[in-house]
Amino acid sequence: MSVEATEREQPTMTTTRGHRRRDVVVLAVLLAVAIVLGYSSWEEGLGTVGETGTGFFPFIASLALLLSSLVALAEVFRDRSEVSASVPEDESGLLLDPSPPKGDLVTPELLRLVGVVACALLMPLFAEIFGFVTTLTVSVVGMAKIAGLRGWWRPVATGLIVGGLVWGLFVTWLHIPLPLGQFGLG
Amino acid sequence: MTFVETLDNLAGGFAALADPTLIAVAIGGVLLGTLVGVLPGIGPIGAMALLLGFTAELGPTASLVLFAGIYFGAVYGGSTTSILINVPGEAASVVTAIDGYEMTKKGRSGAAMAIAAFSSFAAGTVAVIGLTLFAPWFSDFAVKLGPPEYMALSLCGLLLLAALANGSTAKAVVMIWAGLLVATVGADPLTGSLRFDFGSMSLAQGFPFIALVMGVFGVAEALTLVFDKEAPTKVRAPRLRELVPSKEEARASAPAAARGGLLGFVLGMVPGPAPVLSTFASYVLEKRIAKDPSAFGKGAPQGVAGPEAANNAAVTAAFMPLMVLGIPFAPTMAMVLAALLLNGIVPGPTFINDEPEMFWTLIASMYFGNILLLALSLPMAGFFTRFLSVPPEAMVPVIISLCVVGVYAESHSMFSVFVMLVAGVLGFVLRRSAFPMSVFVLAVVLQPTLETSLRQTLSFSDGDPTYLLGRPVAIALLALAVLVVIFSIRGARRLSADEVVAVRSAGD
Repeated sequence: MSVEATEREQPTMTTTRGHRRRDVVVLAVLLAVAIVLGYSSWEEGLGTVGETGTGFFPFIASLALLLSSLVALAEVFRDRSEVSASVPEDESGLLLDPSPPKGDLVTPELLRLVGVVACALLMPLFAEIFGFVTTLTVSVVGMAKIAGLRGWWRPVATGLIVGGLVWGLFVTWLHIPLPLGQFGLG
Repeated sequence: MTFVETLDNLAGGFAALADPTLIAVAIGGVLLGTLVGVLPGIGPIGAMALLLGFTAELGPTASLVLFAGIYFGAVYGGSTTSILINVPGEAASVVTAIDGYEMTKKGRSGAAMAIAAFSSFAAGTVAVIGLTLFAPWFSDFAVKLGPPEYMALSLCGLLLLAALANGSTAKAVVMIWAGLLVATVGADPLTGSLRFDFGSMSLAQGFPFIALVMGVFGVAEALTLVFDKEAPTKVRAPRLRELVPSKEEARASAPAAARGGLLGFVLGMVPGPAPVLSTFASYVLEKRIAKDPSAFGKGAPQGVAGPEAANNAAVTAAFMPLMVLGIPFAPTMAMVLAALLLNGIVPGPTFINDEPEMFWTLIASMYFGNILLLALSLPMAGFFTRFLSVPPEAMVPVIISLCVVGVYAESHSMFSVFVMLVAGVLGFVLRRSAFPMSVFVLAVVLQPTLETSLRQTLSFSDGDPTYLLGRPVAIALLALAVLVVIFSIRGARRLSADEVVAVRSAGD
């Protein structure tokens, strides 16, 4: 992204509906986390001012997270009302948004993202069963293919190169023990 | 420490650096740093996060040398794409693009790159001399600081970073507290009692820091590449004979580089994103004192020399608070701290005296790194810019697998790998909502210092706030933090009002 493009996009980025919705969801989750951990800290024991307990610092942090999330939420809604008052609405009553924010969750990208994460999750799920290097190779092939590397030859080559390098570097050179798996595949 | 002792120690540092392994690590660091600086998207923090898992194998001195090389190289490399294609490879190079790219449009890309490289070298070297002379002196002063000062420093560092971070200050503050809260999972640093473990052995040890960092920087970065697929760019790097600036350009650049270097060194020791801020400060200063301010934005060499000198000096100076106080004031320094902690080294006021060989080898590697970057960055510009044509879809699996291997190699735990992937997804979502992750990481790093010093201060004072009146350094730091937050909120309100006006005009 060029400098001019970055500068141009900044004003619209903070005021678009897609971002607002995402902000509200994120802040709501953080509020919930603050409430749960705040309550848990209270139960851990706050102690006295001169002799603070284990729950003292997390309680303060939870309280501060709760308050700052509320302030950030208020900021999100304040921006919304200010923009609503200043931007004309279209016939459907929605805010006119001539330049939708770059990166809003649209289906093909989201599917690709979920696919890549699913392939990466093969490692913690299966590395101890099928072996670290074997699972990593399969995982890399999957990630490369889903991320958009064309054909099958390139993803397979990428997987084999990464797997080979990891085996050579860690197992052979650095002698770092990697799980061999239940079948001893390595 | 006398001047002669300092020179003796520095000579010892150079002798230790003569080890072929350290030389290779220093060269590898600056090359890797330049590469990540050139590639938009992968900054020095991401590169350090990827390598954190291997630092235990490298040892503390080599890790320091490697990370310093990466940081310096990234700042050098970031300017290359700023100048050639108007795409800053790194946040600290955004300002360089303004006049650097204009010079490229006028056919002066070679001169712009040479000015950037020589300014960076000169300011970087002067800043290392400053570090050589002042770090031992600051260290003697830092020994006198107690829990109230450490509490104030930690709080001040976090609030300043939040106030100066891009975007909403409220979101940055949210990330501070989220980071502090996440880091409380596990053992209480004072009593050792477990908290928030929910009966899990893995949670009882707390969230692994490396997994969190590699997740929010490494994995999140890879996921961003998946999401924002951008076509690879082809760049024509200038030929060697095009690298010579004209006499006028050189005459205009030299004083700007000197001013930028001084400004960068001072700002580098201040908490916050110093390398980025120093470039803006230098640009504003150069424009204000210029005979013809209208030349700025149209290819003024001072607009390249000043900011490039400033960011390199700031990068060097940023090592000072970490080395003498043990407190990282910037996320990149948090990575350096993590590498040291992984090797069982805790930096602090006695670090220079306790680990003189390590400290002076680091300083020696900084001198060496600066020379190396000057020697390599210009002739190898063509080589580095070739990497811009690597398709992002090929980089995604490589980055994620490096993260997986790095985390596993350090922890030998698949739970850590799982935490990293979850942190990566959350980091990706939070970054897209403009929540600054660097503030989060710094909060996670500073949490034990902040909690311990806060509770010790409360214990010593028995909750009496007048106790702080006898601690002028702590009072001054807290006052500074409060002032910056107030100014930041006022600035944000003004910006918000401007945005509404801008939207209104667009609507009209």
